[in-house]
Amino acid sequence: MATAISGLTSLEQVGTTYVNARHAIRSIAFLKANRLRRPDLVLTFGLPLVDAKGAGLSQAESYSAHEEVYLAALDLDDAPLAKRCIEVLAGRFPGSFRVRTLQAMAQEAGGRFNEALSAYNAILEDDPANTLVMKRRVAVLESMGNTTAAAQALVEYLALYSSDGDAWLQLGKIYLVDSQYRKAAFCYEELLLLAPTNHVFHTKYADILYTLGGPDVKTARKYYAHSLNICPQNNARALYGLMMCCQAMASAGPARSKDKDDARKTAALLEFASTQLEQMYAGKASVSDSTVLSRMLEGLA
Amino acid sequence: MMQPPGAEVEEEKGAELFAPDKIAHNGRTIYTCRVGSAIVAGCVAGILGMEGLPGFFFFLLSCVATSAMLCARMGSVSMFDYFAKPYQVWTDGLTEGLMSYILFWTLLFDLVYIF
Amino acid sequence: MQHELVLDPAIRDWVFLPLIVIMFLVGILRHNATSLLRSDPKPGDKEQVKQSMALMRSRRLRANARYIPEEAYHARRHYFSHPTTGVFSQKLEAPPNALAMMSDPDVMQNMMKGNMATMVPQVAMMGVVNQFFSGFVLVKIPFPLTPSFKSMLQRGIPLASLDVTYVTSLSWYFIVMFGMQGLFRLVLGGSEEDESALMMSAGMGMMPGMMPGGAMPGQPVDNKKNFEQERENLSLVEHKWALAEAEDVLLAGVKLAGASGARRGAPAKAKSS
Repeated sequence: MATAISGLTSLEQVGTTYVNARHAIRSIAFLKANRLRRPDLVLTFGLPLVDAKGAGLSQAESYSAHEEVYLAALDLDDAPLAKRCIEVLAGRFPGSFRVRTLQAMAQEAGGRFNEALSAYNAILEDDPANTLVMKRRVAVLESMGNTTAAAQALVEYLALYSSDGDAWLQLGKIYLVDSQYRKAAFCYEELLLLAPTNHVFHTKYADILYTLGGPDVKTARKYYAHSLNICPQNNARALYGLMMCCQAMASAGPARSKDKDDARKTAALLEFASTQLEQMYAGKASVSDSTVLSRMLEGLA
Repeated sequence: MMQPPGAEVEEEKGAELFAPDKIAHNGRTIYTCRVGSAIVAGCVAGILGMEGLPGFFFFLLSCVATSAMLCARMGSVSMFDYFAKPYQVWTDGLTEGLMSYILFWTLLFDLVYIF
Repeated sequence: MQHELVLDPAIRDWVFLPLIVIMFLVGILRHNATSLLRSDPKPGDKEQVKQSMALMRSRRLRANARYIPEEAYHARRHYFSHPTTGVFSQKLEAPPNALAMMSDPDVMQNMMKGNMATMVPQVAMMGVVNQFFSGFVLVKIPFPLTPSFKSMLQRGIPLASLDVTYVTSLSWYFIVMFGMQGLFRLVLGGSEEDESALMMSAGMGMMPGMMPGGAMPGQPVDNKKNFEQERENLSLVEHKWALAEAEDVLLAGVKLAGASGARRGAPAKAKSS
């Protein structure tokens, strides 16, 4: 029966020294589950497991540990260690897609991008819907600086797996770097569909709309307001965005009768935002930052 | 022994967010306790020579006792933190417990009294 | 304690206990055999994945349409349900139906292996018990049952006056079988749990989100009806933009907050409108 070790819930519980095999396995699983990229910690915990040839571990645990140590070794540029791990894995699982992917990742880590790409393409021919390999291809293309091809590859991936929020986020970032704001907005709309209660997505979407300018500024303001509705505390970015939108709208529109309502709203929002920001900075920021803020607010108001 | 769902990578405010492997682990823990106590209770019932209705009452008693002990062990934490439905500690795994209970009850009973 | 019948210790040694032990061992054997016989999952079918993902995306769109602007919603709806170019309007090639699937050697093999490993030992044991261990009383069950159970539990013993609680080996077989299930999960489940701690996180790293529960690789699903259903559902949705009054909500919240005009103590997690 499984021994009763309490689950790990924080990095402090993980610690930085090797205690025993069970704790090591749990720590590595914790790092992986929380997507913490700490190859140093993985090595601290994983190296004894690999060296001791997996004593006290089940087979599956031992091979998983080998895989994690391999990836950490690639991160830390420790080629001999990586070679050792992959040889164990390749010996036990010859020809498996997972092992082939790991071997190709070694090429990627070494900067040999073209070889890595051809290796990935070969795997995709045999296993066309392999998510990990598709994502690695995108990563390689981005490392090569070929953002167009990376975006293309990511679009192909998303055509298959449209609920992968991380992929949409990545595509959005690529488009923003390329200044393709309409396409980036599309990506963030998908993210809003995936996680409508996440205020960060609302803020970022509003940023993109504001950047597009024109009529989109009105929509942007609504998204900033909504972001503040969802998360009223510590949401400085949305407050700034709100202010910028109000500023833009106040200086742009000629006074029409319908707009008087809107103008009042704009003024109210502007005051709200500046009050909030002043309070936030008063509590936490340094004196110089606060002065900068008040000067900026004077200039805007 | 019990694991809280733990920190999630994607924040979703307002919606319930569960970590499936932790929930499964907690469910397994309850199951283990339930079956284990059923086995022990079955042995005791068999050795004591309980028959019929008192035997079943004893089973229910052992279920309640197990759940109560689990609650006490968990202390003051909220049920919602650990389980999808807060009353799971009391209702989970009763059928398998009953089956195991009957098996060991019959086994010990016959070993001790009939043979 | 007085009992009506006293049973021969020989029965205990040669039937009662061995039956339990054998069933336990067979169960473990079966478990190991299944894991050995299980073959690797086939690489996924691209087209199937695409279709189920399209369905999921459309459902998501319907569920959360209020959070994106109207144009964005209509563009996506157009993408899905346009009469000629829409995703849900495309002609699907009929997936291999069940009959054709039968002739596919791989699928047949897997099905047979799965069934064999579970059914055969149980049926075989039942046959053995019936053959060799019938005709005598084996066990006294400690709880009473109605007399109507007698015919079932006392097969092969034509004694009308025998108490229901004395039963044959077949019923003992069933009691053991049901009771063992819990025990097996305890003993064998433990070994699976350790693996899952590490492998699940490795697996989670690779999965992009959740695959729809129905269509797992290896089982082609006919999506024609699903597509039509989604088309209809999409046409029924009226887009009501949740953010139309967002600024008013914000300002209203400000007014309610208090004299100092600041939002004091607002909860960290507010429900979205």
